[in-house]
Amino acid sequence: MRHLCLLALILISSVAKSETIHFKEEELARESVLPVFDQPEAVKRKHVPFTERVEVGVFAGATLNDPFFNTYPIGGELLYHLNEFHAFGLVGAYHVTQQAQYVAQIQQLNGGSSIPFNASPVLQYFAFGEYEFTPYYGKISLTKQGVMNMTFSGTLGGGWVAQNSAAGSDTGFGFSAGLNQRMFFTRNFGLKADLKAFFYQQNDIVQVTPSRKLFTNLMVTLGVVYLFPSL
Amino acid sequence: MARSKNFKLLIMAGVLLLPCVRVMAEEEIPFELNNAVQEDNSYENTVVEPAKPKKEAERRQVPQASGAKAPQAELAGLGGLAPFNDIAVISKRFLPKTHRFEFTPNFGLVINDAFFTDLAYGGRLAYYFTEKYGVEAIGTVISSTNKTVTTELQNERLVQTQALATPTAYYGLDFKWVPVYGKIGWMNRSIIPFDFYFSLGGGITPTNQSTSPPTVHVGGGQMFAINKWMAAKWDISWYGYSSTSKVSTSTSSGTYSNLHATLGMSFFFPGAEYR
Repeated sequence: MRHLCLLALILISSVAKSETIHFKEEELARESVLPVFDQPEAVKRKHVPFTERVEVGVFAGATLNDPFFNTYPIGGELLYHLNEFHAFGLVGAYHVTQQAQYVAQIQQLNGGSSIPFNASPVLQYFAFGEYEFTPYYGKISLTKQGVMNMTFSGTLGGGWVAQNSAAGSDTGFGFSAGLNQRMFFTRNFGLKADLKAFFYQQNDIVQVTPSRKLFTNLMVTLGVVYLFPSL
Repeated sequence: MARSKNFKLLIMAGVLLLPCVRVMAEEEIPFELNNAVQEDNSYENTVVEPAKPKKEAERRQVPQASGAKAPQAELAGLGGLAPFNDIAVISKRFLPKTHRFEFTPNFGLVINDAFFTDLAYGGRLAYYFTEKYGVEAIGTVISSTNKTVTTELQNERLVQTQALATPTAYYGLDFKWVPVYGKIGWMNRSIIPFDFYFSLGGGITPTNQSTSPPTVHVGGGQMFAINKWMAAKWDISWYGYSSTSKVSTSTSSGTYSNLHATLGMSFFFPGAEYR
């Protein structure tokens, strides 16, 4: 038994030997908290980069708030992306128009027949300079079959608004604010959905003595975009 | 006695030398392995593994029984495997929905009403059978005020604008489909997970004409997850219905389309466990 104890003691002493390790002063931790990453990069390498690329697009849609006309804009845009977030460009559209169902309904009512609907101005075209801010960039899974990249953007614009009526054409200044979303099928090609609020002056023909008033109209469009140079 | 003493010394010497032998072994094995790999790239000759139970060793030897070409045949067979037909292209949904309820108080506007400013307040309660499919009950109350053109029609042209139909509420039930999910970066700083959904259903639209016509509803929107039980949400919904308008003795009917844009907060329950 003593021999076994001696054997165990020798065995342990031969394996368990202690050693003192000295670290240099500068290698010792000085902070008791984890470092804070104050500039995290959410997307390391974008699949659809925008920096210094030109975006060309065409779209079609409808305006929502004209009481006497349904108007359907068909147009295009040309944007230059300064970087991933900011872009400037031009956007314009021609409006195909149709009288709204409310006109016939109002004309049947007392007093409605006296309103000169043929003199009511209707949007003919607009040509705006536009600034676009794109703070959101991401990717989506469409029923697990593939990944598409997408962006959310806000726009501000201003320029010319032309209107047409029986009294003739009229051109004035207008401006817009909008939100849009792009979904890219490739690194260059994608869909773009846009909701814009237009503000412009329009002749108010409902008043007995017509006058110009600020008018607000919402426009929704859906289009395709292509980015140059191609990747 | 002398034999016994020699035996003790032999054991002690063995015990003292044991650590040295272990250290040598630790140094030499990697060296031998490296040499083996450098000399011969085929893995057949570099099998260095600890002893295994007999049965497992026999099982591992079975493929080798058909010759050295067996592993190559196994690799060639990989081409015949069925392709994956359910690949999660963006792994890990952040906001689980299966067998959960979603309650959404919301508010918004009817954005295509040219004669009235319609504010919509309501709530939705959804139940998800799976991550993609669910049902949703909708209740919305709408308060309307005249726009400038309507006031002018009344005051300047004496038009009876009460004949213009506008909704006062909507109650319905939808089938909900959530086929798209993703994540989006804000200013390249933070990641926000979200879901796209579409809904299709029907209900009734009480109007200011004292009618409640049956209504078709088609909608879509996005839920941006804040955490596993709360999300910010926007929704665009189209409601189509046909209603009569009664003024004095005349009655007319028309088909109406209302486009609602709403914002809301979604609350999911019961709670979800973190993965």
